[in-house]
Amino acid sequence: MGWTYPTSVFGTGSVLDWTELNDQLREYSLVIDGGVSEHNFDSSVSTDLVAQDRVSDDFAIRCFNDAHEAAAMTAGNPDFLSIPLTEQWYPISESEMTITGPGGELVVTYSFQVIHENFVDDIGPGLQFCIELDGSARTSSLLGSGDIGNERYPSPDGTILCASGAAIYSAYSPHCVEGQFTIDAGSHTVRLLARNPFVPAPGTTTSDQYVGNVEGIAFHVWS
Amino acid sequence: MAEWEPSFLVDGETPGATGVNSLFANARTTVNNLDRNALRRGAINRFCAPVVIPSGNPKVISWSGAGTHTYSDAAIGAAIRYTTFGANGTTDRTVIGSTGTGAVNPSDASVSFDGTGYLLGGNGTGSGNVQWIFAMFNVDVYDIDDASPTVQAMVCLQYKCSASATWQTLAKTERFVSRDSHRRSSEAIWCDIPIRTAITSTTLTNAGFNAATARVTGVRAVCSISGGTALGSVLHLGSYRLSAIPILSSMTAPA
Repeated sequence: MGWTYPTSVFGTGSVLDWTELNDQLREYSLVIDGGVSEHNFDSSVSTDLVAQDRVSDDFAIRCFNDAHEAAAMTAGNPDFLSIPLTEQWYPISESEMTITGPGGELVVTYSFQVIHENFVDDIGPGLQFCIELDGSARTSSLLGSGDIGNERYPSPDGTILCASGAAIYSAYSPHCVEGQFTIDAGSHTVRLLARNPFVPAPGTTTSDQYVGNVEGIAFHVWS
Repeated sequence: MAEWEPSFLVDGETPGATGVNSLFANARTTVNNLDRNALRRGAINRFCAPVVIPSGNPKVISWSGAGTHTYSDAAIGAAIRYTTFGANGTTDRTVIGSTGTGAVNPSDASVSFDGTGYLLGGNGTGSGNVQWIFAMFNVDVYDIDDASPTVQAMVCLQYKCSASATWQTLAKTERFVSRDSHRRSSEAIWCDIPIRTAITSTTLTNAGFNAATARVTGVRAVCSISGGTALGSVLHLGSYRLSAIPILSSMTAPA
């Protein structure tokens, strides 16, 4: 720093050389224009001046979170979303997260509760889940075997019928769905999807299935 | 932001003492502002934020191995019958771990942070300031002894902060497992309960705390029994694992 600025001391009667003075001013501007290191900062530095993404020269991380807490743990609670009886993927709208960043890897996890309160064994569909990225269901994150048939087989002791592994099929069950994806720079949308792979035959009845207390967490990392 | 450039003198200009002194004052002010963190664009050179996970107590894990631990309704000081969604403390729920009885008696599913804990939503430049805490939990529900087919096991996470003596329940993490629809035999359920959650400054604010001063000092897992036969149930849990990781990176939540 030019603490001795200006280098020439002007006294009474001094001849002011404009060239010399400009040179001193220019030198001063070069000193203060860049070249400052972290040692110039004290602990009160504004967060606007500190990069909160870059951890080191070759690693940065940005996190996203979205949680929709139910008002109560009951299937009829409007905070729990009813999943329609269809074989098509159905988005859990409250689970949507918008991811922005320079592109890299994206790790997404969804934690949630499934309720099928009027569950009756051997009657009714099951549920499968996966993560949707920019409108496309990413089956690499599939929860459930993917078997559309959703058959039943007797349990080892014969007391109940078990699903063949295609889907979540129970009264109350908690789950996590997780996936990792490579994304480009820009804005992306992720959502949790649900699907009923088994639709009951005409004339049969089944109760609604619900998903609630959904929380999504996403980690976007890049170098 | 434009780069600072002094008002250079031009040939033929006749600066007076006032004008020259003004030039010096401008330069002096600029340097002093620099010292007070009023930086120019481009002045930051290769400055990186602190590490994602702070040193000292970067992550805390509590876990138990094989074997089961049991929670007998009305046997642990008070009945552990679930009554209220999001209830704090241990009014209708109990800590997973040492409070249970059984052949294997593990430590509590509880983690405590070193020192005075963490402030959330901070800028990461102060000691003990982080952005959020990433909590992960998994426990195996072995079985529920109850004649009623509608009985359920409940598990959720709680956090402790310096502003309250009561552990605060994260209602969004309440998870239920039904007994009858999960049984694969007449003896066992064997169903895992996985939980992933973020504890942020908004979590504290929504609970009525001042997030700028309330420090999160720990996270724990609790369980209870819902429905079924009152004072007649026994919950059997297997192994568990709880992780709580303070993270400094930015966290974006929807508007």
